[in-house]
Amino acid sequence: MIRKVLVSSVIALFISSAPALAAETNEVKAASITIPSPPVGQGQVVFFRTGSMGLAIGCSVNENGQKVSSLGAGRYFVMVAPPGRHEFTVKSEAKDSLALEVEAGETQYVTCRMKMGLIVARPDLAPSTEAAFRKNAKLKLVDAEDMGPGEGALRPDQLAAAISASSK
Amino acid sequence: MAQETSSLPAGNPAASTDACAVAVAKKLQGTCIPALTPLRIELAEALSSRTSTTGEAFAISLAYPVVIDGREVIPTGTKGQGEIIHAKKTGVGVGGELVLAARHLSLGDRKLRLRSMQLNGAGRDQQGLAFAVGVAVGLPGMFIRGKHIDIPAGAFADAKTAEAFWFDTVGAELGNPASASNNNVPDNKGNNP
Repeated sequence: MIRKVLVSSVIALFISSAPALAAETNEVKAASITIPSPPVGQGQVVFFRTGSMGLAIGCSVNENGQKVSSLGAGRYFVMVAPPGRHEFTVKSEAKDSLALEVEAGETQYVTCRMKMGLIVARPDLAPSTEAAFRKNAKLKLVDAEDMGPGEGALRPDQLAAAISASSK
Repeated sequence: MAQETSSLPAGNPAASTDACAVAVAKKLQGTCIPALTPLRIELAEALSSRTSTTGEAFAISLAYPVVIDGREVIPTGTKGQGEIIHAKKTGVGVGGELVLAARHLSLGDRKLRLRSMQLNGAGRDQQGLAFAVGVAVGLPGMFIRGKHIDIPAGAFADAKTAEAFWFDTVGAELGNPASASNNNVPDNKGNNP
């Protein structure tokens, strides 16, 4: 009887953790993540978030009042953007913004960090580097449903196509 | 500050006839500075995340001459302008931030647009660039982070020309189709026609 219960428990445990295990397989060591070249005449910004503080707090990146994408802990996304000045914002109990000069043919990196707020953690956008991006043990692409409704963050299929195109 | 020089064309091939192509087509005598020609510029004034504000202009100058086909076409010291794209003072748990962009060099009444500015960690006086804690250099888009960011006057940065630029050999430069059609189209026409 005890044996039966143990076997059932192990099976139940395996079943309940299977989706998590499957999801984990999408995590990739940042050092091996392929970032495609931006399309001709365009630039791009890679947003990423590491850190453990504020795991439950989303870092929702917006531009011109429109959501580009949410950015959970351990996630990244790639945004293709026309050259020129772009201002991105994140907001929780306080607003933070970061302006960048997107250059054609170039990739820039931005990190979202969580800093301690009075009540909840507050997201903070800051300029970063490819080296800092690559240093992360694991990062996972943001899920398509967490991306904004408009053009902006590349969906997984768009990113795959861009990688394929830029490797030719 | 006005953003008239900030945006590069988003890639309209129909409007991409650059000044050099126009000059070559007209069989003019002169010299072309191709788009994306690397330059080294120097900050002519100190900048700090403690005092700088977004949108401010800052002075730059050319640190080394631009030489095309053995001929100096833009001398050292040519003045220009950059812009502070983003400035943020330090806050609780976060460092100061500065994002800079090189905008142009002034060549008489014309402006040679610049792009892709990156601090390179060197300086005219080799003063070790007494940047404050945590400054990273050589970052795309001239990102700098740290507790406070203090960049001394004389700091060097790399930049590129954002457009093909034509010099007439007799000194009288082309009438300025530059601002209208001197688009940022990479080319390799660095030769005298």
